[in-house]
Amino acid sequence: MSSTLELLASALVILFSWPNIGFAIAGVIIGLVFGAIPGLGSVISLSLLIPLSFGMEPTAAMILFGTAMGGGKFGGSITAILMNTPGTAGNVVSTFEGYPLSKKGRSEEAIGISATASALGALFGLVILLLLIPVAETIILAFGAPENFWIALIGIVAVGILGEGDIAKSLMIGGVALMLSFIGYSGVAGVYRYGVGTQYLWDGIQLIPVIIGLFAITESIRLTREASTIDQSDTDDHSTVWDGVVQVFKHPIVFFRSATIGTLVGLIPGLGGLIASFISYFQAVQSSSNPDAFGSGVVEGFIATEAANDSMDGGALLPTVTFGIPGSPVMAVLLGGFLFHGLSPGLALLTDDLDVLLMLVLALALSNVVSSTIGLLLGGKLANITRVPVDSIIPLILAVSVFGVFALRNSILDVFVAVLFGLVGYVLVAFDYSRITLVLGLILGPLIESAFHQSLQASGGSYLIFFTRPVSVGIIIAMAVIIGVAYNKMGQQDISMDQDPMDTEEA
Amino acid sequence: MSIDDQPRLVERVETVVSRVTPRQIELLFLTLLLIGVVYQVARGFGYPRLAGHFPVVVGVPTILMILYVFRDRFTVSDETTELDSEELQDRLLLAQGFAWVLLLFALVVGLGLTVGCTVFLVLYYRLKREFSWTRLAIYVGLFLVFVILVFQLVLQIPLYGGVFGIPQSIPV
Repeated sequence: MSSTLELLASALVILFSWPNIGFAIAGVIIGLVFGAIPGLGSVISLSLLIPLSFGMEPTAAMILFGTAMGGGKFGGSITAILMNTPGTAGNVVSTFEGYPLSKKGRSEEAIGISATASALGALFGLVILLLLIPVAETIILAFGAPENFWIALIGIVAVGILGEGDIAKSLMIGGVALMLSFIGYSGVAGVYRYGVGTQYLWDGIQLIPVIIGLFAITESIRLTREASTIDQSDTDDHSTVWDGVVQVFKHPIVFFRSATIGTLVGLIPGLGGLIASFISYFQAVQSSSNPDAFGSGVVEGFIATEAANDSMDGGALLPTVTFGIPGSPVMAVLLGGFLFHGLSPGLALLTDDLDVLLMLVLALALSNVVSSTIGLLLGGKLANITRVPVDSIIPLILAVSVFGVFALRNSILDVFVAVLFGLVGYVLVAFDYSRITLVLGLILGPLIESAFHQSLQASGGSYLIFFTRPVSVGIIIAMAVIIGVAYNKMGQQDISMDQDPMDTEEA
Repeated sequence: MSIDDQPRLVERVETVVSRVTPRQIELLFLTLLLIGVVYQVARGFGYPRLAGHFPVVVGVPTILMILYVFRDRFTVSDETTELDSEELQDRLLLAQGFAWVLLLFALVVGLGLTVGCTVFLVLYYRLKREFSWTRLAIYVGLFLVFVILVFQLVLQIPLYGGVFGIPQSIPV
């Protein structure tokens, strides 16, 4: 441990020396910009930076990568808060409470919460990472295919039951989303499914065009109808970013619980920031004394999502560096960066190249602090976007979204998908269906199916494998609790409708 | 110049939006979903077991859920009252929102990414916001600078030229 601390200290000195600090600042700026633009995000920024880092020292390259990753997360939060447009998939849940806060005129406070919870969450995750390295192997190997199957399934069920929209409709959309996720080439079966005669669907329906459609484009349509400005509060007395900073410290239990959830979820390969944020958010809902208020700009819910989304990186780094199993899509690209610079995940990275790994950890920590500081300093200026007439913002959101979607694969059909889901997204919102369940089903569908088949292969076709492993049993019990809550919630909805028969719902 | 200066067009749109009810739209949406999922389940039976098994397992309860929601919505009585002016205005705004999105896509497909988006911005800001030409030039100019910087110079993406193959890159 003392040698690790010595390496950490020397890495710190190297980080703050020139030109490394220059790379760090450049990485943060690149990350912030890419994170804020819908459709881009850390995956694309890292993909671009890797070839550009040719010829750099591995430590300098890790600084660039780490700071870009950290900046990307916060950049995505900014647009999620101000325009209900998540910059990255991991920021989808940030819109649940962040955007309603903006509509109440508390956008600066929301930015302050995001900046603080993100930075502290990321630091928390990285500290846990450093402490968990000795026991990494045991934790990761406890989660096999059956556990991944149940975790993914519980994610969809939980969101459908506890999230926005009517429960039956949301679960239905979850099923539809799973069906959509089956479109494309199946690696398990070696068959191209539901291609309808086109090669475009070979890789399935792409997630980013769907997200941009469901959020950026749908929101643009909503704004033409609903408001003159995003900030719909009547008062000129707006809270500040520092109010947001204070809020995080006022809710330490929410913060630490969420950061822990984020780190632990990050450990499980393939789940990513979106799942971490979801689980943390719904835990906050469950433990709140006023769960019905969630969705209207509840601070605890927002702290939960931001802390989990950023602490997840610390956890996700662990399987990436230990086994070469990326804990998230960003980690998959980062893994490519490791290999590009001659670094192999596994024992070597944890021993001979530990200094490089520690540099990456420090760079991630630094980037989160720097990008959050930028957010705190510029929060007031950024929040002014919510006070600009939406008619001035909508076309820019639409145009940038179209560019962002096209940039993914240089395909105009991706733009078509985004527009299609933009229109569908409005229908979903208008008729109380859950967009989030749709997104989650698309993400988790392939994971659920492959985990299902892998489990059956491991057990020789016996379904008992899903019900006999201790971790699986724990997850099943958790799902039963969630379904019980839902049953209770649906019963209360029926009771309240029976008591007020003259109440009618409007679409 | 604005859309409101086209009374016959507005009248036609008003007629359409006042006749279509939200319930009809939702039922149409559910019908399309049902057709899609039934198609997938039916095709699933035709695939090898590993490929078709799971879609069928997921698809059958999904169909049942769609039918449940469909029945639930089908039994709700439709709105028969005349729309008041506020509701009509609301629907017109919504129709406009949809139309602008579709127009953007049509312009991008026809004229290409950069040219199409630029034309879209010009049309939107002139027709909807009635910007002055100076203000319009500033907004569009900033947008083009952003596009050139990020997508043309940094990402170096070959920008889509539309069905007419119009060059999209701006000489820098």
